[in-house]
Amino acid sequence: MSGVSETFALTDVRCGGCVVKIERALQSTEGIDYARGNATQKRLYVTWSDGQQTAVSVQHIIRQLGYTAQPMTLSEAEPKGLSLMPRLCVAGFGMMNIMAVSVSVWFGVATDMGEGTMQFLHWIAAVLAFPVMLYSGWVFHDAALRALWRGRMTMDTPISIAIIVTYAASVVETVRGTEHVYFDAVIGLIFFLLVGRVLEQYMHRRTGDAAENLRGILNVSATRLDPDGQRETLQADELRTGDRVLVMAGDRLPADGVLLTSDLDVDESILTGETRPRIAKCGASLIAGSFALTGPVEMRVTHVGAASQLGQMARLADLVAAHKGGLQAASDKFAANYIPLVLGGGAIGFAGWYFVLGAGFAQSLLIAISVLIVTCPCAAGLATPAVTARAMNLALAKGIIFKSGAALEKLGSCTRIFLDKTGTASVPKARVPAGLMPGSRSILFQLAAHSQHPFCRAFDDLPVTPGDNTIKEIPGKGVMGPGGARLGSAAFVDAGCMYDGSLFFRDETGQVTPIEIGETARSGLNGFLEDMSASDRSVAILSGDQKKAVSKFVEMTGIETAHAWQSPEDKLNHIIAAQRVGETVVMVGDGINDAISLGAADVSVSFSGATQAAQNVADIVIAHSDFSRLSGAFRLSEDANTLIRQNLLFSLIYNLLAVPLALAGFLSPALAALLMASSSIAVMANGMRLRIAT
Amino acid sequence: MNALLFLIPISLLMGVTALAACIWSLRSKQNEDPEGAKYRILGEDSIGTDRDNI
Repeated sequence: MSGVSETFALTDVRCGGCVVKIERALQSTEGIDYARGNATQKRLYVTWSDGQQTAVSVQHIIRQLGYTAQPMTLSEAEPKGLSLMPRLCVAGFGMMNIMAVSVSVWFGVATDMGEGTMQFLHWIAAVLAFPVMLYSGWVFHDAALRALWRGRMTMDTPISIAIIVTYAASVVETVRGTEHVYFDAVIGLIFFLLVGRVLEQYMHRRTGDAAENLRGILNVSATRLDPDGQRETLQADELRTGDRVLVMAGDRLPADGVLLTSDLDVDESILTGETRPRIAKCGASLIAGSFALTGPVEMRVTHVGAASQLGQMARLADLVAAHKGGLQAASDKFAANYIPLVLGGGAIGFAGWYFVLGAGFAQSLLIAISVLIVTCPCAAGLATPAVTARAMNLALAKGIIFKSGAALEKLGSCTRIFLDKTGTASVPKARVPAGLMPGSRSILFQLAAHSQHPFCRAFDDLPVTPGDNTIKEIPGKGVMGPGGARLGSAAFVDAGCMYDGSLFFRDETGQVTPIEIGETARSGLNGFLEDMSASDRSVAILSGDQKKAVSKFVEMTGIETAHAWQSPEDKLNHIIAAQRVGETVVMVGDGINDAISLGAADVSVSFSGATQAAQNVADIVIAHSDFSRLSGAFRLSEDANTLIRQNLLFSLIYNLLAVPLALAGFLSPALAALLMASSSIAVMANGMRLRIAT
Repeated sequence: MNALLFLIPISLLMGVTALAACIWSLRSKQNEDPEGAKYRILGEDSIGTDRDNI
């Protein structure tokens, strides 16, 4: 097949039926050679002849069916690993056929099988087992050898040793012509362990696909409106800050920006997980990657590509994916300390039975092998990462980014929460002066809608106003419009020193009006405070603001403890003091001045609108500017901790029961493998029970 | 004893056939998308089914 291939992420298909519909439509289109969807991963792989179709035309066909497809670059770094299924098939084949031979020998020995026949059957089993032991067992040998090369041991080390020793001992017994051979045990062991591995791999994949799809969708095209009225289509990453972009209904927004025209319904579920559309008013900020449900509208670009919220989110999603990749590493690290104990246990089992109890060499060896297998600490090693990986992915889909599994574990056990006030717990709110004439009022709104300054964003319900080219913003001073109207600092509007305040409006007649900037609680704060007091966590405000503003805010929200006039060092001291008395501290902040205290707290939280400094330090970044998400994060962490405790308890009980049984000689190697694999699966499956509240 | 000499090869041959079928199904990616497969069989036309086994 000559042509171009592309993988698309199908972000909004509901079921496999949709995928098949898209597939069929594409296959019956001329110029498309191959189209194959994967409903499990929500991806579509298309190959077309160059010149007859393009990625854009394919996207267009899919859009006409009512779905969206985004070209995605699959990360090269995706660990491929050994393919397990063919190895499992071979092990299954080997196990069944060797079992047939072994069963005949068992019955034959009891009846009248001759020495020669038994020997012949043993050799058949030995020959059958050899390729299976090498090929299917390579999964374990490979990992063990790699670790050995670096002078370490992994969980696969005892398994690999067990396989090789049992096979070698059986071959020796076959040559000696005795009736004790264990080819069935070796291959059964490999088979059951592989079943466990395959199931584990399947569960891992399910948690990773969502993050991968998210990273793939930053790549969209945009329509730029040039100053001379020309329209130009270009890639989203070619846009510059300040460009005016036309967005049609159904388009994905190419960059972060400000809405310049009338109301727009946007679906921001990609970033926030919130499925209800948000109604953005003129002047509202828009997020790259969200969907315009109505339109056409115009927007002004404020952040492009990696600087956009989705770009930052994608960077953080990489961290989550890296954590998932680290799952095996984490359990291996755990194993490194534990493996000598496993090998020691096996040695004790052998020595005890052979030397002390006087059992035969073969029997002692089998017991030692069972001990090696059954004590493999896979379940204990997976207990924590199985849950945290699942939790981090669930949270990501809801717009909560945990940068590490440790932060997730700690959050649930936090007892004290410090909130920064301005920009974190509160958002500014501007009050329109009552005495303003309706004409001046609309000019004021036009000026405010033009600027990104927090004070200008503080007007809510900015009415629909057409974008006006005569309005100009002078950074750091204010906005000026037609007829001498100005909105800005006292000096900018020539207010003199007659008024107290920070934002002034001068209308066309030259009349200056001060605008009061108040504060309102960030949405979801009340619910968050209720949740926290219900779970006996104390919340306190640490604000750099003046006493008056802080006490006013405290009155409004009902937070009991609040400290005003806090310098960054004061905030830090509060956190350290709380930690000294044994409290686990969460700090929620947004500013550069919070960065130190965010770093000192046990867990730090920031919102996506916060400064880069705060977001970089924070352990948790919440994409949706809403405190209810933080409540959700607390609940998720508590649930995750419960599951982790269950997992650790389970693996402890499993080892306490299984090890003595194996040492006492009640477990055959294959049964031990079955137990070991099912204990890992039980731990993984328990992690999958985790759900996130919406 | 004589019976074993041809019965065992026959049974192994049957096993190998099943193994080959299993590996063929894996190679042709029939197990990649369990979610989509159940919808694919419901289609009236069979466009694409020839290509699926490449």
